[in-house]
Amino acid sequence: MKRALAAALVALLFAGCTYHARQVGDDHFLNEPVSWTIGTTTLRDVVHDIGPPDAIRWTPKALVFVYRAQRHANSSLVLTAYLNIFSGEAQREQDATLVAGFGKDDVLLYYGVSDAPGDDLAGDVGF
Amino acid sequence: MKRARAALAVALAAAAQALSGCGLATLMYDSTIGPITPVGRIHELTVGEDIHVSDAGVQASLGDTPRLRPYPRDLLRRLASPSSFWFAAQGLQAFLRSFAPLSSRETHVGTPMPPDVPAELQPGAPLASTLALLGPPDVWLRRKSGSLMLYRDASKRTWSFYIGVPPPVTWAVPIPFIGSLRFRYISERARAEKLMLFFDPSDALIEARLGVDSDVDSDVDTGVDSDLEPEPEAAR
Repeated sequence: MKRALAAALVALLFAGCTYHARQVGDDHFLNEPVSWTIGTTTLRDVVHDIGPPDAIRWTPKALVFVYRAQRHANSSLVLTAYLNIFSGEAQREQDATLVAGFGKDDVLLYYGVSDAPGDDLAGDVGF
Repeated sequence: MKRARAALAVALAAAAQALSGCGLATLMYDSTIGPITPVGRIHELTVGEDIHVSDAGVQASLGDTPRLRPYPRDLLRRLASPSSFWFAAQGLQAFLRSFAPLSSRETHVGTPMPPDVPAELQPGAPLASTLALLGPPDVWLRRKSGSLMLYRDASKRTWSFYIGVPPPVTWAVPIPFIGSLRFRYISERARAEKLMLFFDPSDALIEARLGVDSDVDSDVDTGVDSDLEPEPEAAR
């Protein structure tokens, strides 16, 4: 009985709230010790270090490997009485990306890394 | 007595029709007014279009056409839905899941990856035997200097729970704010196992590299821009 009452109170306290978190990919490529040298490191070295890419792009000047991790959080409060009487929503989307471009002979031309998405609940709900 | 039963039957039928979102309720309200009625709400499944069944349940779009009509559009087609056992199973699963306070689901797209690189994929293995063993790749970059192949198995795991009123009550019970008496948490995790193969100019395998727990999301990036791309030098 007490548990049912506690559940009902929690439901009442957070009535209308929804929290949806989505984690896409793995940001392991941000944690690997990257010691690549432009003009020396090859495509196979990169795959050895951080595994196969999530996407491959080809341009006339370079072959580009893309590694990506994404975090999406959506928190909402909706009060419904046939229509949505009140609706508030906070969305947050963070991307972590590593791109590496290779030229002739699959030698590294350039690479860049972004920051890792943080696991931040307070930020997700807008505080 | 008979009159009372008939009145009850008529009242139940009227209530069911009002709750369904078609009939009287639909006749009284157009899309410009909206689904405001104390006896029920206009439901997208009865007056909407593009009705289909997915793993999220039976879905439809309200669209932008007027809803002032005495019966749902595509009535005959709707009566024949779901059109296959697969859709029926998906709809049933989604319906049961909507009641479940705690649910977990996992979906896979692609060929499951072996835990280790197959023994047949030794350096020197011809491209033809690789294709025969693994099938067509997700990405095949064909170049004079050596080909690349990428195989991928994407998976998505979802779990959710709610505390409070079950979600189906929202559209089944016409009590104000009853749909709000619920807290819901949903967590999704998408990932992919990948296998990359390197071939030399004579299409002999140089190396096979299995992904290190690397992840990907199908709705973010398919990663395929260069399938069967012509030779870069020739393209220029």
